[in-house]
Amino acid sequence: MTLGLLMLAIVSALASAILLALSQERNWRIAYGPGAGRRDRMRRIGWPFALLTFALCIARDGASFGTMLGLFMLAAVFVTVTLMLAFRPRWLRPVALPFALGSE
Amino acid sequence: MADQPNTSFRPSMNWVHTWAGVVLGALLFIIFWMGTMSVFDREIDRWMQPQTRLASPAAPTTSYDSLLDIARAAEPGKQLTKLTIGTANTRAPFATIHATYADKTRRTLVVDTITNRLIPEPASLGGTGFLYPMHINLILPGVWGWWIVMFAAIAMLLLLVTGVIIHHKIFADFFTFRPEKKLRRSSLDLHNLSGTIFLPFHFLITFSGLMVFSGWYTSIPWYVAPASVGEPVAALINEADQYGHFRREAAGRPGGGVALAPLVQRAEAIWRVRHGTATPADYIDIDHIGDAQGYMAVRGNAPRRMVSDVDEIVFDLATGRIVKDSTPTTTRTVQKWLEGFHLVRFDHWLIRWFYFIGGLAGCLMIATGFVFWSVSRRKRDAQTQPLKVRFVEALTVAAVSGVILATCAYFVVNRMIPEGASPGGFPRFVIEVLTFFGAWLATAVHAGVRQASAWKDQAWVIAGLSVAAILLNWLTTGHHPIAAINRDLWAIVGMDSMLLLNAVVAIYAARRLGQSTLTVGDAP
Amino acid sequence: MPCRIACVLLGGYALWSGGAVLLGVALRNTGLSHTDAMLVATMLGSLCYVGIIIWGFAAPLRWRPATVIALSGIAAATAAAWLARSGGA
Repeated sequence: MTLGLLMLAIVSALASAILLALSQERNWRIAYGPGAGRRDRMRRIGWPFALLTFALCIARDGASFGTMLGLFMLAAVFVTVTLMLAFRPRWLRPVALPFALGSE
Repeated sequence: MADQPNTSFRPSMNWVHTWAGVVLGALLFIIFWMGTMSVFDREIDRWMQPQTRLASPAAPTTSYDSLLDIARAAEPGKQLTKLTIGTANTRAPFATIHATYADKTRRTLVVDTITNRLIPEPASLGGTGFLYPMHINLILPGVWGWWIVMFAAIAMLLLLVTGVIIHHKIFADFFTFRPEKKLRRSSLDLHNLSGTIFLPFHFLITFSGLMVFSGWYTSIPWYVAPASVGEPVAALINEADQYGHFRREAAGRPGGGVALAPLVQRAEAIWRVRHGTATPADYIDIDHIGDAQGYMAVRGNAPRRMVSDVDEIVFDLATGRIVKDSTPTTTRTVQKWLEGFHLVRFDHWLIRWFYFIGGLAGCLMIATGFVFWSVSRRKRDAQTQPLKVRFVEALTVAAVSGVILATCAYFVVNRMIPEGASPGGFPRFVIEVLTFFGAWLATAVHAGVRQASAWKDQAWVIAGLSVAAILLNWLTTGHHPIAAINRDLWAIVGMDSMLLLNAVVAIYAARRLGQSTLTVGDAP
Repeated sequence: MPCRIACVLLGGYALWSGGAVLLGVALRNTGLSHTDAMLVATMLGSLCYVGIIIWGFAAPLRWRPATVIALSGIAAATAAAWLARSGGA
């Protein structure tokens, strides 16, 4: 139960960090290439995922520890995504695909 | 000090940020580094004090009365008057007893609570006895250390706030790291990245650190003020009142003698109901033992609550009645939440590791801030003010890689000198502390001589010392990482793997520094 | 310049510690307990101290804010000491 919530929280935090990163033009270019993604849509989905991370962490650990855990977890995935953008940007491409303009 | 540019708000804040950073950065790095080490201070204790690497007690011990007997047996023929007990827990699996006898003799006893046997008192200060005191008051005598650390905390808050103000695009920094760019740019990237992502943590950890001693800090002027003026105000804000510890005088006639264990269990049962979570006693203070006015104060700390020990129940030892039961007010709970947040005494390993990472991020932020400044200045000022640039660079190296190196040397020398040996007439713990400061001084001199190359040299030494520490621990205790895993000695596993990681990062840094003539901050 | 910096830093500290005593006494009169009042005052005070420093250095460090901070710091500390001596605290 707690392990499941933790895993869900990590996935949700990762989704949030990747989407918010790709919603910036510079990062989109690095990860996907020329053109632009559906920035608004990525942001509209990215932020709720950040909130969901907090919700899952609080459900797991209660208000005090949960909030701390959520903050730390987002920090950790933000660092991870930043390092991916710096060293392995193409790994983010699969997430970018559905948000590429003209792919519909 | 250069004059402030005659411009508007943001450039002024930039000026404050730069100068507060350059002047106090070295001090802040030391405090952050020692604080980061203190997150795992008990684990460092286990590593440096092998005789305390015991199995964690399955259930908290309840034989408090036998601890009383052990304290009596330690000084036969003397009357035991006062006893404090730090109870065993998962991170420190033994009870620490401070006993005071009628003739003012004091003894510190370490007791294995599973076998009820004495463990020889470790000849090492470890993490809790040295690294943690360095964090809170730099082990300076008197009030000076506390005062300096307080101003450093205020400066840190100031640096965080001004750092946010001088930033144009905070959010963009969240994902920007360009290792391929010039050192000046990539160090600024790292500075902004670690600063923004961990900003909430850094702000809270600094503010809560200030608040742990809040009452004390504002009362400093009244301690140094003339007594006639100072006294009444000191009474207004004195610690005894603020922290509310129970005291009463001895009656001078014999009495007491109630069994302790049931009382402690009663306190734990009251707290369990009050907080809805297990709250074991973690500190017990028994005074006037054998006297009619004898009492026992029991303090509890709930491992699953952020709020740190607000609970204190005092029992009368003649009757077993509760004389005082403190229920904290809202204000007090808020302060104790901040205190609990800072002291990390709760039991949540994931968050504890995140504290460690957040602390390292703080170290990285301070170090890269320094590197950015010196690289920017080197071009501009190398001709006009070579001494200033040289001085700040040496200071940076000594404060950053020097402190890391000295900490590694502290670990190595602990495993090199056998327990109980006293080379040159000094007990081992003195040698350890002398080694720390000696190594630190050496790095400062080395940095002054070798300048930019000092980073690379010291990174190699750090790598060497880290590996040596792991091997020496294996040789002297037989607990190589695999053996430690088999024996459930997770503190040792953690310590060894962090030393290994430290060595890898240091080697990486040293090699990169070997390729270019530029200086790069050594990520600890 | 060093004079003005000292005014802001030391004056700000006097304002924090003296002001905390005054605020604590004022809060106590509203019904808060002794300890609580001092805790609230010192907690708010430390944040105010950071604010004071920022204000002091805001537009290039000038004499006017520095003087204001130093004087009010002296005033707060004196008032706190007077309160103490008169037993009002």
